[in-house]
Amino acid sequence: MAHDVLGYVALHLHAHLPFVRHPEYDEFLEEDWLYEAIGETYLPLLKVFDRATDEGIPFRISMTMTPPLVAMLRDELLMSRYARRLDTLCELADKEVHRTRNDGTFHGLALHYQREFRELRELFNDRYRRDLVGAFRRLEEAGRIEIVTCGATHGFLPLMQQYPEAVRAQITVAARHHRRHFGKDPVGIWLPECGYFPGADAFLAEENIRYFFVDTHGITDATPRPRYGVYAPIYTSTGPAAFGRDVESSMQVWSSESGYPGDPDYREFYRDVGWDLDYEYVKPYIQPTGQRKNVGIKYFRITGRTAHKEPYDPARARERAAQHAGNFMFNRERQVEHLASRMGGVKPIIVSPYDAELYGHWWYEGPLFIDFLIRKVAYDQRILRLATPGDYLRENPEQQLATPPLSSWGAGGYAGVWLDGSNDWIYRHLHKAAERMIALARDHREPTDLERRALDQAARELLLAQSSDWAFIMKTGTMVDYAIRRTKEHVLRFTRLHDQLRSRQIDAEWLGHIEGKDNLFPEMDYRLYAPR
Amino acid sequence: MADFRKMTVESLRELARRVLGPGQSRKTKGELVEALEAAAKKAPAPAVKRAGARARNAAGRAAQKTEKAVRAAKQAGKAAQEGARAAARVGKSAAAGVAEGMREAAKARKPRNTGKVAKVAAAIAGAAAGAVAGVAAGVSAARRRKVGNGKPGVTSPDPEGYFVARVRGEEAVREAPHPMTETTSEAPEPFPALEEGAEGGDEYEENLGELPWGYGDDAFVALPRDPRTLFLYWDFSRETADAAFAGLEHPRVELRIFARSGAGWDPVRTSEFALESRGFYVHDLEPGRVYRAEIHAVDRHGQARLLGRGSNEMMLPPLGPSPVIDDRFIRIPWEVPLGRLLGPGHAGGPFSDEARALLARLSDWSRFAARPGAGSAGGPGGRPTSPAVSSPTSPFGRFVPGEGT
Repeated sequence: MAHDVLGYVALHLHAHLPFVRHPEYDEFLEEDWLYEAIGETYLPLLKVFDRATDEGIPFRISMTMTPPLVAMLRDELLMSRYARRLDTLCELADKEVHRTRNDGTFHGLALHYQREFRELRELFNDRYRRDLVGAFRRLEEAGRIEIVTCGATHGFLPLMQQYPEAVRAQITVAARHHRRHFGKDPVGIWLPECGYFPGADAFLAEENIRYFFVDTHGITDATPRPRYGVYAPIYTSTGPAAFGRDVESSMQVWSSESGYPGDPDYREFYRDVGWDLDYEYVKPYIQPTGQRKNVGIKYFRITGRTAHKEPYDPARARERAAQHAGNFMFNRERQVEHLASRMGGVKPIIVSPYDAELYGHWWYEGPLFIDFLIRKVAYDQRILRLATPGDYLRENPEQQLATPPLSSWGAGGYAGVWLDGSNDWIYRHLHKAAERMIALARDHREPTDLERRALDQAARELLLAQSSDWAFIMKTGTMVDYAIRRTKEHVLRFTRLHDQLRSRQIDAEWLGHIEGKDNLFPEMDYRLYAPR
Repeated sequence: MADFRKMTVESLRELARRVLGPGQSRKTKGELVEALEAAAKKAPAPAVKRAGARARNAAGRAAQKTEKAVRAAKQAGKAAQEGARAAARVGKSAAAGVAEGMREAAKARKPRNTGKVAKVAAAIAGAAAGAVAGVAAGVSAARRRKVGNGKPGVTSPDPEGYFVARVRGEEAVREAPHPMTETTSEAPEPFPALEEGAEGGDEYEENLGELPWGYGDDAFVALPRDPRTLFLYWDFSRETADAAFAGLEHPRVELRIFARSGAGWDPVRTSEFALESRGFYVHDLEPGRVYRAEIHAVDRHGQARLLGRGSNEMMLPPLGPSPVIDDRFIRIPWEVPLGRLLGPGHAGGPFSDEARALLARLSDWSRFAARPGAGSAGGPGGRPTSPAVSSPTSPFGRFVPGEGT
């Protein structure tokens, strides 16, 4: 790659959802997470990336696609349910067009949503043929995005570090899953919640994973002290490089006070027709229990810190997104210029990671912002280039050696989100299950077919129980009952499998049932839990 | 005119939607009342008069319904109070039973150790009563949900809370206009049964039961929470505890924390605690050190005996920039697979202290730490800032909208 710029900006989007799949129910509330993220984030991002690729715009962005998300996006049942959801949305949009036919303020917006949902349906069914993983893979093959993996089920590694086999399983299962779906080794990883502990890099090196991300203090507090702060990666003692988050660019998007998504012209997240319109009218589109929820049609803009909201104007918001993209780029240019002048010939990299679902789902205009940004960076300046961490390491293979401290990107910066009074009870059960899984793998060197199935399923249940999302939900107090239930169910299924394996009395019918239900990682091999 | 102020916010909102149209969800009660009163007063045209009359009638009906609902709620509240009292009685009785059992056990072990045993018994009694109350609350929550199933107004949280928590933080979840949080019931309601005729998979009754209270495997585990806090949990068997207490006079338990120092261990903290609590947060430790813990049974003469085995060793993360300046660089060509031992690297060239300090300042959160923000996952709230690094401004300035556009 040409050395024509002063530095790089690495935009990283972390796309993740916990594995939620309930074939036993026709509709299940928490499955909405996936459907909303597809419609409001993944499809809009694909649209932006594909159009830019078709137009030959030279952009580079890295993305995490976590194994549970990939598994759900490749699940036929969930995708057929999403297709049904899109049909319903189109139906509601049609009704809205009719309802607002004499309303000069909202009719145009109703038409906007009708067009948008129809386009989503066309993209999902016809262009991508219900295979979004394949669509992202093609973008990677086209050289536009770099897809990295994550922990197998987003397990928070610092709190399982006393069981190296459990840490290894989170990494190895993810790497295998990535190879299966993307046809190549993952070059990088988003450690779940950016949760690193000294030594975790060794498990990445085993899978030839070249880099990972840490929060800012993962670099600034590393030992020895990194010379370039977060503006260059550091190599850990086993080789994988750690890239640290840049504060300045983070604040421009994340800050609830001054971040772009809070602009008064942008769409208001909470004002949704699912809450605003007549109950009987929206009833077919809200929860089956009759409880209201967001349905995705929102007619108001943020306006300001007031209950009064003005109607949303898509053209005005679009213009604002273009301004913000320009502003973001301008600030990165100044940042790169300044840093490059102080780094003694080393090219700085500004790493800006975000939850992918921030773009589109929360910040409706987020995908537009990215669209404008990649075009402006390509054509409107010559100071920096969008690059992935992999690009940076390929071009700059010499880096400082240092060890990051235990850290995460959670509130407080360490493990406090996943370990407090609301969720600390889970660890005695998770650790006991990990210990038992390791012992099972040690003791079953030549299992029968049925034992092998039970052992693989036990590993799946353990991984599912370890998902950091459950502890996070308990801490934040959102869908707490569901998170508790999921934790308990997976531990209990694991325990029953353990007991049946130990007593050599495996219930094949029940095993078949849970294999069908918790069906991710068909390539699972329990032997990776065996002590080395 | 009907007194709108006597109506519930929900009734007012429904009424306002009917009379005034959409856009009522985020209005306060005062705003709703004001808007409805204005609509009722205006009534300039016959159509609006009819609307006003409809509004008044609807308001009257709604007020009646509200009054009925309030009466029903009061009755339900009384019944619930009765239920709660009954549950508490059962809880107290259960707790008293447990405490009594413990007292008896303690007496058998050490006849004169009544003070300490009483403390323990009181703790268990409290915990048992709390547990019963928790279960009662869970049952009550489950019942409320079941009654509400299929009907409007059920109060389970908005599933959007998961996303809002991730991208805007805990505070945003609690301040959201729609309820996005729920209380832990510890007794989640089973998934509701599939309705007849609905599509979906087969029902399979797994009868998984409940998680065990403990495993009795003598686990004693130390986990790192943050640079100053270690979390400990333990699960000692009865036999292990009995063995530690055997022969000790008036035993109590002590938690002893040690920090690694060279080849040995320095005692850094001793705390008294209730063994039955099964977990403990040790706060205000020194960052960046390796810790381990032991629990000892100690008698009145100071004779101590280790209970089970000590915890694992756990390092707390350091806080702030490392004092170690050792610029070693290494080249790892992209084509070379990892998984082999790296060399020691080579020394970096000269680098000015001024540039190093500047880059450290620019990297740090302290410039933004005072600002509120999201912060449960990726948001900037609550980030650690370096005690040794501070910079009130950035040389490349703030992000002023409009600049560079």
